[in-house]
Amino acid sequence: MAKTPEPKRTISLKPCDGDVIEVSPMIAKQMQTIQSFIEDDSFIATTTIIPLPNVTAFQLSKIIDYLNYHSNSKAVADNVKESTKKFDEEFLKELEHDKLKELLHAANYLNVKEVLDFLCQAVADLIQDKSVKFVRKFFGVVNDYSVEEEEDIRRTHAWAFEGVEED
Amino acid sequence: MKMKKRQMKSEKDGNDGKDRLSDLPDGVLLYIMKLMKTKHAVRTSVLSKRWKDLWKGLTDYTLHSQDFISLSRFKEFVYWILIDRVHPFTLHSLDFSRHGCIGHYFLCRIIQCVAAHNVQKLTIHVNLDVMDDFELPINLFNCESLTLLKLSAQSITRMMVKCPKSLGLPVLKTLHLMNVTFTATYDDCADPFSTCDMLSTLIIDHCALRRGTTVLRISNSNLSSLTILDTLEPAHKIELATPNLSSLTIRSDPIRQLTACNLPFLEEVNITCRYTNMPNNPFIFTWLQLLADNVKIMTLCSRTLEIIHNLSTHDSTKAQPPCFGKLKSLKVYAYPYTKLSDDGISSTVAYLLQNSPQPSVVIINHRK
Repeated sequence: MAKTPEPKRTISLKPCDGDVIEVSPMIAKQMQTIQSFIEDDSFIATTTIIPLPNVTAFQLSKIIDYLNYHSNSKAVADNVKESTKKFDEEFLKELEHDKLKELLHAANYLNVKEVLDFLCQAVADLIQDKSVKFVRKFFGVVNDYSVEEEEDIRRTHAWAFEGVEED
Repeated sequence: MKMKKRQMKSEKDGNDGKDRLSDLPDGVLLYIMKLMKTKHAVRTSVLSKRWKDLWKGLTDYTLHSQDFISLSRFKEFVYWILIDRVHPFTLHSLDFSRHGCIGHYFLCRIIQCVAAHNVQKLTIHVNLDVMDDFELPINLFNCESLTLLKLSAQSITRMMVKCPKSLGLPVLKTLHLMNVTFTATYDDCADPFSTCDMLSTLIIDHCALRRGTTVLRISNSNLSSLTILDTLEPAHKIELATPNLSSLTIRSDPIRQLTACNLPFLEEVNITCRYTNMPNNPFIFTWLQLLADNVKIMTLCSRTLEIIHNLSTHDSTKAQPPCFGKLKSLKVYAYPYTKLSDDGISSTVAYLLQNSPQPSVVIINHRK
């Protein structure tokens, strides 16, 4: 008697630069973009591979790591809180600024709220109190103000430029 | 369909990391700004033309005087962004904190603005230098949109900062009050929270009862978490009419009187007693008797254990500890100034639990 294969329980995601990554439905559920794919009538769990043309394997695995860690540590005991904090710190430490920005993009694209919240807070913490020059560089902003226009804004919001890192 | 659109757009972006963050939708950039102090969010208007008015979409403001070089600069900023603003704006949440002393006129203007904007979450930390007792503006408590209120208003002139007899706030879920005074709602009893129908978390910290008011009654059918810190004096009485309470934390002088309705859901109890000279009144057993039935997690301080220890060794006051039938865990905080030795703590814990099934006991030592 032929064995019927176990029904496939994972969701297949294909990043732009690597092999297919399998994730549990629990994790996939937290990615709104994937979720809307799954809910589509044409989706067949056993065969469909969801292409993610603008998410790299590195970004996808970072996001999955984060979700995995946090879904496994929902308890509120003190020591769990401590280790979660440590995990979050390590997670950020390993990311250079460019990687952080790209990951934010990926999290926004996948629409995964928990990671997006975390990364937005990291960015806010990073650029707050920094010089305009630093923030421009960080966001990749090209300054299209004329000298006079910029001077005018700096003058009207003078209090906003006091007590922070100078250019 | 939506999915496809997003993909199309992003393919165009290519993969060069440069200039990518500016492509983030305004919603994400605003979300990042929301997590910064508002001063820094406004400052992004200088980055480029795209950013010029982006911050105006903010609906959550964090205004802290500590971020400004002077209090007058801070005031200028608050008037500009909140009070004197010409064009209409949306305000969902405001976190306002000012060090030094604030004139009550300034505070009233801010509250006026909050009330006019149907704010949902409000945090205010201020010190007042009022020359008379100060009634908190009633339009704050008439606010029908507030779901969260954290208010600390301390009078440095030792005048009273008074809450209304009854708070209103029909949709409030979380209330954290510090340094304010409660007035009797009827007779000698303050019952300020009975109108907050949706309230689930209440924290009262360093508050006071007005002279002549001796009973603090908490009557609220939805309340699940109650914390009362350094508010009660020994002569006060507390009445709990909170049938849905699941967590209770009290830190106070050892008040003698506690009455409570049936608390079928009360699973967590934390008691910290202040160090004061007090007779070995078996009040603590009366409390525990009232709270013991369903409690699963209990935390006590070493001072509370000292009182229990004294009761256990004085024949005249010897009372039977209650049965904590469902207790799973007992935590004891041993503070440096406790008179009990480690052995003393262990034997008192054993005495306290003599009528109960064996829960796990953790003693957290702060003495080293």
